[in-house]
Amino acid sequence: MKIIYTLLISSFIYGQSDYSLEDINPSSDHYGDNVGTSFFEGKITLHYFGYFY
Amino acid sequence: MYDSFKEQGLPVELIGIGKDTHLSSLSNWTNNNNAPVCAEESPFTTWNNWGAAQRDLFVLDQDGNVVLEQNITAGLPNNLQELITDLLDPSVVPCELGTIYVSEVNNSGSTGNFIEIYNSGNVDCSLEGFRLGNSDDPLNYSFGNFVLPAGDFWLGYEGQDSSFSSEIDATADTIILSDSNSNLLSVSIDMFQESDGVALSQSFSSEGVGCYTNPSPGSVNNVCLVLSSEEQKFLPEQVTLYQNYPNPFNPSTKIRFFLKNDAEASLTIYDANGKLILNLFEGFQSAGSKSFTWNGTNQSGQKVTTGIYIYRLDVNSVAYNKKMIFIK
Repeated sequence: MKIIYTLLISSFIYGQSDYSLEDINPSSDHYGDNVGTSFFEGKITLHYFGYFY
Repeated sequence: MYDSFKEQGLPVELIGIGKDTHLSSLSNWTNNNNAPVCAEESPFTTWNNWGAAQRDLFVLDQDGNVVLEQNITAGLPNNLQELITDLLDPSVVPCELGTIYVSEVNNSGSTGNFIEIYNSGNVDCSLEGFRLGNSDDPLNYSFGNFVLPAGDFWLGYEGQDSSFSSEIDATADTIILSDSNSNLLSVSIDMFQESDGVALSQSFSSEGVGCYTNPSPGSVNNVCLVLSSEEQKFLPEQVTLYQNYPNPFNPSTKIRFFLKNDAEASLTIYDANGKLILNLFEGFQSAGSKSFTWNGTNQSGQKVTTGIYIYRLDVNSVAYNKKMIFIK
């Protein structure tokens, strides 16, 4: 699985809260897109970091 | 919760991020939701415990500001939905009486009775804390956190789901709208009328001035109608006791009645327990419209307490009663 490491170091608007990672969920509307905080600009975003068993 | 927001078309996105080794070994990341899923360690600098069996949640508002960062290993925060709801609509302000007012009432019958409220302002506002009722039950209906868009109407039908249940009197009544600080606006409803077979509404300006109109529930009021004497056939011919105005009131209110003929009459105030409060007048009255003012005092000149009072008009041994509310 290809992982795209494109963490944006954007100090304006989103500071260190922004990132850009590939959506690998085939059932997602954004499958294949690089998503992150700024990708969903103008929306409320919930970022869940989980250790799935 | 996330599905609920999406179904409503609200601008909320969920992004799941997990370490590559976990994602590749477990397929349930991608099978159990339609949200984006990414393989990475957390890009948030506050995350520093990835090796543990830990779950963290970050919530960012529409401007990208972090408004919540929390270890949710033990579960989601109880106020998460409320937090997101508040973020979704931070611009909604409380409605103001006067800007919000009762714009139309129909008292033609229980199934057709409705009350319309209009937001005459230019901003959406919340009716949270507002109550709606009539003289019998001033606090009957609570709006919850309903948001009334600018220039739009709230419409409720008597006895329907999510609507008021107080029974509007077809002969006369008072509709009361109150805000969260118990400030009140009221409109007086006269006797139900028909015109050309249409059960008319009574429409009101922001000042509470009313007139009969063709019904327009949920839309801009129709023009005022001038009723012919034939159409006003439901009005009592001999005596009419009108609803006092204003109602509720403080410090004073006017009580009006109409006598078709000269008569011996009396007008008396009682409290809700039937105790005599004040006799406003007793004696001969000539025919025509009459108006008396009660300043909320008893026979000793003392102010009465907040509550429901009854005014009773006796004409030629026939009694006519109505209720009113005094508020300190």
